[in-house]
Amino acid sequence: MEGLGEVATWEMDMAGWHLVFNATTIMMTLVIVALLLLFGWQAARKRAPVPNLFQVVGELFVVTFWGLTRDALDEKLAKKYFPLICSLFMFLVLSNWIGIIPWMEEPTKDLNTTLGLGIMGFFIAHFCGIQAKGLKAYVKQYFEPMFFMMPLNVIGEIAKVVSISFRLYGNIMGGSIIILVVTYLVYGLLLPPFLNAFFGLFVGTVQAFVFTMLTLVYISVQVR
Amino acid sequence: MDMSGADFVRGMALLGAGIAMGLGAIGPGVGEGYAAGKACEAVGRKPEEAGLLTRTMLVGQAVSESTGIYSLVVALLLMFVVK
Amino acid sequence: MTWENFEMIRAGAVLGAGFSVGFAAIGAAVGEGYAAGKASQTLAYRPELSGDVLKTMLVGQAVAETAGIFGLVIAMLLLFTPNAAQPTIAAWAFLGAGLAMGLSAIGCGIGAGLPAGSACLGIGRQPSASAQLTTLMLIGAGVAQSTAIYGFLIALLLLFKKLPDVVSMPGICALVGAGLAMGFGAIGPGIGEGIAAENAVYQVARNPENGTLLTRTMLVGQAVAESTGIYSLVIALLLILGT
Repeated sequence: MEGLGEVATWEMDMAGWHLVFNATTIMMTLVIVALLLLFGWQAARKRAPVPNLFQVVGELFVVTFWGLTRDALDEKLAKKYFPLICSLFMFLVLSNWIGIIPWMEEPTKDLNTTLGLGIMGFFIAHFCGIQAKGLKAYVKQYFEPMFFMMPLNVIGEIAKVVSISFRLYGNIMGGSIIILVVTYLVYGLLLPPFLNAFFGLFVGTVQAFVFTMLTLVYISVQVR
Repeated sequence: MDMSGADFVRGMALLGAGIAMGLGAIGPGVGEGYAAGKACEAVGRKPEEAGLLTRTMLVGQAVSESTGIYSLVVALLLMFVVK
Repeated sequence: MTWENFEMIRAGAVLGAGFSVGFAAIGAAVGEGYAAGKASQTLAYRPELSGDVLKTMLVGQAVAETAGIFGLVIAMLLLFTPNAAQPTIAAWAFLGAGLAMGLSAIGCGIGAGLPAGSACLGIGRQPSASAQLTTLMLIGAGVAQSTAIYGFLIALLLLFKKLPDVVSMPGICALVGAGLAMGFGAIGPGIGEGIAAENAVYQVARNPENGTLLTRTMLVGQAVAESTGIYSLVIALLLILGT
C-alpha cells in the first residue's frame, strides 16, 4: 500500500538528455508482442479446412474486424487499414487481460503506451484525410463553419488524442489500483477474483474495443 | 500552522484543480449518456443501420466530451504549472 | 479556543461521515423511487404480471441501493477508524473521503434506477423476454455503478493512506480537492450511463432478437460516457499520491 504509485525505472544520460524509461512497461510490451507473434505463427501455420484452436480464434478476430472496418471505410481503404485495426485490438485486449496473471502488469497501465497509440491513430487519420481530400480541402475544413472557429477546431482535434488515451489509461490503472487496495484491506480473501474478472476481463475487453472503434471512426471521419 | 502566501496559492490551485475536474465532468457525462441512449433507441428501430449509428454516436460523444477535456487540461495545468 | 489533535480528527471524521451517508442517500432514494413508479405504471395495465414485475423491480432497486450502502460503509469506517496516533492532517483526509463517496453515489444511484424502471415497463410490454431484460438491466446498472466504485476507492485511499506529519495548506487542499474531484466527477457519468442502459433495455423489450446488437451499442456508449469520470479518478489519484 505504501508503494502505490511508484514505478521501476531505468535512467540514462544520452546526448545531453536525461532519459527515464519505465522498465515494467517496456518488458511487458515485449512479452505481449512475443505472445502475439507466437499466436499468429500458430494460427496461420496449417490453414487447414478443419482448423485448430488458434486458427479458430484468429479467424474470429479477422472476420469480426473485417466486417467493422468494411462498414466504416470503403473497400480499398478497408483493405489497407484492416491489419492495423485488427492487430491494434489484439494487442490491446491481450495487454488488458495479462494483468490477471500474477506478477504480470498491463502495459496499458502506463500513460506512455496509450498516448503513443493515440498519437499514432491521430497521424494516420490526418494522413488519410489529406490523401483522400487533398491538402486544400483538408485545411479548409478547419475554417468551417466560420473562419474564427479555427482555434476551436484545432483544439477539438487535439482533445480527441487526449480523450482516447486517457480513457484507456484511467480505466486500466483505476482497476488495478482498486484490486490492490481491496486485496490489502481484506487480506486477499474472497473479493479479489471477482474484481479481477470485472476489471481485467470485462472492462479490459470493452475498453480495447472502444479504443479500436474510435481509431477507426476518426479515420473514417477524416476520409469523408 | 504557519502559512506563507506561496503556500496559500499552491493550496488554492490544488483545490481548484479538484473542483474544475469534478464539476467539469458532470455535463459531458450526462450528455454522452444521452447520446448513447438515443443511439440505442435508433438501433432498436433500425438494426440494419447499426454500424452507421454507432459511428455517429461516437463522433457526437467525442465532440461533447471536449469540455471535459478542457477541464482535465486546466486541472493538470493548475497542478503542475502553478507554483 | 484550543483543540486537541484527536478532537480535530474526530470532527473531520464525523463531518465526513455525515456527508458520505447523507449525499449517498439522495441518489439511491431517487433511483429506487423511479423504479417503483415505473413498476406501478406497468401494473396499472398488466395487473396479472405482478410477480415478474415486482421481482425485477426489487432486483433493480437492490443494485441502486448498492451506492447508498457504499456510503453507509464509508460512514461507519469514518466513525470507528480514527485514533489518536494519526497526524492532524487526517481530519481533512476524512472530510475528503466522505465527500468523495457521498457525492459519487448520487449519480450512480439515480443511474442504476433508470434501467430498473424501464425493465419493469419492458416486462409489461413483452412478458416472454423477462429473463433477457433482467440480465441486460443488471449489466447496464452494474456498469453505471462503476464510478461509485471509483469514489469508494478514493475514499478508502484517503482513509488508509499513511499521511505526513506536517500540516500545510497545499496538503489540506490536495486531500479535500481529491474528494471533490472524484465526488462531483462521478455524478454525470453515473446518470448518463443510466440513461443509455434505460433506452437499451426498453428497445430490447420492443424487439428481443436485437439483444446482442443493443448490448454492444450500450456498452460502447457507456464506456465513452464514463471517460470524464475516469479523468476525475486520474486527477484525484494524482492529488492524493502526489503529495
